[in-house]
Amino acid sequence: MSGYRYRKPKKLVAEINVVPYIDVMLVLLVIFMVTAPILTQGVKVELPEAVSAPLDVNEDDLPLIVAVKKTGEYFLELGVDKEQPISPAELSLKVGKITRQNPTVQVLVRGDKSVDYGSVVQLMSVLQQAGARNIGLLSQPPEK
Amino acid sequence: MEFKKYSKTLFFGATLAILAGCGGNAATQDQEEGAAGTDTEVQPVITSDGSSSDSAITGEQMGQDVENLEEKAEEVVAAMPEIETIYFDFDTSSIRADSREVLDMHVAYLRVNSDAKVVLEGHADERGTREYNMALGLRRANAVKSYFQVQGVNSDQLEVVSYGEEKAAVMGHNNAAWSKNRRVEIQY
Amino acid sequence: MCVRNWLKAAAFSLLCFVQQAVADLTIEITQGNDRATPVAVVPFAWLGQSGLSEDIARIVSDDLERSGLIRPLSRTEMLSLPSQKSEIFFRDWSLLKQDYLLVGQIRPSASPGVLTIQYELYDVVRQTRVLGEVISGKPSELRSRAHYISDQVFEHLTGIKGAFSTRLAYITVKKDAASQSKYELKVSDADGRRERTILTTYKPILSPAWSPDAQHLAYVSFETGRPGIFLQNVYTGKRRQLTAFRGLNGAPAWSPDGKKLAVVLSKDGNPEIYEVDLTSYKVKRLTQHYAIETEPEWSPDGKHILFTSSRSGGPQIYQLNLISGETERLTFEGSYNARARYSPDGTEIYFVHRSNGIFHIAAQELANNRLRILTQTPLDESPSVSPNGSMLIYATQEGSRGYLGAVSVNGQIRYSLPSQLADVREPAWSPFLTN
Repeated sequence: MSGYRYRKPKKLVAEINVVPYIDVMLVLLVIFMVTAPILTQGVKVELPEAVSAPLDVNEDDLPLIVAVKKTGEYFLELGVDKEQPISPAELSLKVGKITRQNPTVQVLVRGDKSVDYGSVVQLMSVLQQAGARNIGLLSQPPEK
Repeated sequence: MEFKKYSKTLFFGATLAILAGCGGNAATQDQEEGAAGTDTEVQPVITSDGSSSDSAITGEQMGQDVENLEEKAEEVVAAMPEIETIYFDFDTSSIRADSREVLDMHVAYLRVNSDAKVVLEGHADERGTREYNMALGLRRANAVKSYFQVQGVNSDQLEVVSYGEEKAAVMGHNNAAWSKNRRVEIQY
Repeated sequence: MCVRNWLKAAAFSLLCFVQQAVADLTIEITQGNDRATPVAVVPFAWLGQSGLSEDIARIVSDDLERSGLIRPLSRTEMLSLPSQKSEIFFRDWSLLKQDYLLVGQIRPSASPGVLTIQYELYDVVRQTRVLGEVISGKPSELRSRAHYISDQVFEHLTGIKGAFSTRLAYITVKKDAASQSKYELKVSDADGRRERTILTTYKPILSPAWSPDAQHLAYVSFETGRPGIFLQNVYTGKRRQLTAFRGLNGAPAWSPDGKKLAVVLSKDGNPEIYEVDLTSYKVKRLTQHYAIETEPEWSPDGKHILFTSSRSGGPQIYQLNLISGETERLTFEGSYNARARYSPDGTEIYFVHRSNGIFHIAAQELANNRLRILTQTPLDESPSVSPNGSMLIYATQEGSRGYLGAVSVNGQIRYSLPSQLADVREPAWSPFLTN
């Protein structure tokens, strides 16, 4: 009751003014939306570690394996042509077919130890252009 | 303060407007257009239970009409009426008041020329199902037939046929075409 | 402030863009493709000399895709084209996320002019053959054989009997050189191919209805200048006129045993429903009301007749119990409900329903009377149910031309049938063919 007596005549606005928050949030949203695609443009490489955890080989989620030989030739482990080297164009075509049906397929690169870094980077770029989002590098555990 | 409030409303309004504008797909837009097209349509509301259609004309009216006709008949005698089509409202077979004059001319002709035979061809517009429209066309032709009969035309002179929505007089999918297709043609 | 407003606008347009992309995706979901089973239908290998007239795998793939329950893999997306088990690399098909794989071979058989067709369906995950058969047929029968394979594969994968080997009957109208309307009654495969004209006339034809044995069609023709109900054998073309009463002779519907027809006659003055016995030619009146009574349809158990009546003012659907003689009104939503058809199991009805002045096809469950609208185009009419109860075919219009549309009974899958230059209307889906 006494509180009522001391109330100021001017009406208090008890609600929070949310407009500035929304302004800030929208600006942040724009910044994230613009930067998000830029961030993914680089070649994503999961560098092989000397001692890496073994990959889960899930029957439902088979990985697609691409091998790179010392000579820089590519091999796609599919069907009958496993032993035949494959050109980057054909590799892109075949990987594209798979990623269109199976966008989350894990593509594993099995590079020879002495293969030159450039051809691995080129392969990764081909794979990414073909729609592969999940690319990993196969490594061998160090011999004891 | 006032401005802030105002801008807030405006801001949310704009959000809603833009989202609504973008969120739709082709299908709903089509539907909206279709709905908009039919909004302008004025459909007669059927209030009677349908039973009145054949017997919409009461006995008293008929008596008067017959008397009038006796007089008119003298003038028209052998002239075959020029207007041979009368029109109906949607999903009804009641004869409109504005059709009476045309029908009366035919009655006069048919009563004078008792050897003249006439085919009453009932039609409906394209809306609704074909067989229902076939029945509706028949009811319209029947309504004209009963009108003629109570006015004293011999029923041997009258034949009724319905073409439903199969023989449109006017091609088109709008009220103007539909209103011209809901008709009975009186063919000698 | 100004910059901030500009940023807001930019944010909205971006949001819009995102929203649009999502909306496109939802369209696909309503077509029922998200849960469809992925199946690779590999082109069948032809081991003969000259070319084949039909591409069986293409026909099977199109059939399965039209069902909406199966999503066939496009040929150009295949990594290899095996035709027998030894050529299949299951791992490749797993990578392509295919659940099943259909392969086959066609080769000339020992008897001349007859081909042997072998098809095998493989489960990609289990790497086992789940279906396989060797069938034979003449080169002219390849389409029928392909639809047969579609039926077998569809039934195995969905548990629903395939209706790809069934037929459609419909009416086309075309203006000839003298701008006379030419009416034609046609019969085609369920995919609209192999169309045959079984009647041509310059007077209206309407209401084709298949006999339960899928051999005969009953229809209304005005060829004599007056409507009459005709019966015609679809295969021999032999026909006869069944009714020629004064006034209406319309809306024929076969009883499930094929021994009777329910028809609409106005011989007693008003359009009423009658039953015509096809052996004794006795005519029995079934309805008695001063309103319009039309469009009868027998229930699958033969105990009820659905019909349209205007006894409440506008057209509504009623059900007549043939045993008790009682009539029950079924539709209450909207002022125009007409031409109802039962689902093959008799639990649902499909009819023309008007809402907001637009005519759609609607479904209503008989247990709870819940109505759902299935189509979105205006002026939709003549729904006809596939014999397996999964799809409805109906007539609709685009511009001033009529064409046939199909929609699944759940409203999710939609396709339209290729229409030639003519106006197409009044489709009737045949029962299962018995052969």
